[in-house]
Amino acid sequence: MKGGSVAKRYATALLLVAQEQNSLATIQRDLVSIIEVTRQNAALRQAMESPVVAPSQKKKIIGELQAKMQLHPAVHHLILVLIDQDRMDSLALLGMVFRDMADDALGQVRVLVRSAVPLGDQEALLKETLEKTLSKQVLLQTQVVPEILGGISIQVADKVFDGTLKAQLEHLKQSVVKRAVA
Amino acid sequence: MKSSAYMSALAWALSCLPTNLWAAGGGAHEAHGIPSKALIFAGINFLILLFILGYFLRKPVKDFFTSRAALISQDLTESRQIKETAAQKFTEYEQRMHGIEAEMQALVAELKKDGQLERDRMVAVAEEQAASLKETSKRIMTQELRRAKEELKQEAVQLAADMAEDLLKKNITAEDQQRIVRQYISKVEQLS
Repeated sequence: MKGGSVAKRYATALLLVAQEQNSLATIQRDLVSIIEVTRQNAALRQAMESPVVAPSQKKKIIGELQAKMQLHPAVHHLILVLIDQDRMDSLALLGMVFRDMADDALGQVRVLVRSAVPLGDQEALLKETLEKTLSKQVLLQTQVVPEILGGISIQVADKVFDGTLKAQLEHLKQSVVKRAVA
Repeated sequence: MKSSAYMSALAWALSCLPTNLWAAGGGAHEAHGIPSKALIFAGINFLILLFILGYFLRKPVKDFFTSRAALISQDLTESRQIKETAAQKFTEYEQRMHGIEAEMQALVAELKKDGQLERDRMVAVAEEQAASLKETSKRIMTQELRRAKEELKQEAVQLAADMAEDLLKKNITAEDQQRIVRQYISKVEQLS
């Protein structure tokens, strides 16, 4: 919770900078990039989060990354601040919070849809319907999960609307068990 | 003791006296039978002896018998007292024995009563424990039965669900999939 509030504080500051400089998309993209790099490279992540490694060395590493990745100055500066404050372990969470805040600021929402088979033509219909329902631009992400048997489940932020056959079957099973036991 | 010794010596001297007289004056008349003078002296000696003995021994003998009588009387009294004491003790012991017997009977009766009470209490406790055990067993049995029924039902439902899932997997078509998705999109549409 403490890490969450810290991440939210930094994300809010970064969002303000991004809005001021009108570079929300760029900053978001660069932030996602650096998070992905640290996520995929365990040694780098450990070095950045380790209290044993001196901040000067961490900054040197980030400087080399900056030279290669050409991160937005705001993202670069944010990471330097996190190193100074020994908050590099909050970077991933900060990225998620910033993404949600940026999406909200841009009037868009991320929706994860799981289906048993690829949606095909229905994906566009679903996106349109969701945008109408949520009154926001939908960034649809699809995932095929055969175990759900049929139907779809829609996840918006931390809410899941489950319309899969697997869920209906489970619900039916619970209902029958409850009635049989009673 | 001194008086008694003196008296013994005197008696011995007197008893020797007639013999001496007899020996002193009788030598010349032994062939002519018993001399009359000797008899007279012997008789006088004897009388004197009796007198002296009576004079000197009367008081000691009287004292002796008096003290002896007193002693015997005292002994009798003591014997009587001892006998009375013994009788009293006998009576007392007899009473005590009777008391002990009664006390023992009372003790035995009390022990019997206590034993009976303890037995009753133990029987009551055992009966209570048996009833409790029976009740607990019954409750456990009911719970186990209910649980077994529930498990059986759950297994049956799980089996049915697994069978339904298998049937769905085998029989669901691409059209079915599209139809189901479309139906759900319609539901979402209705929310707006």
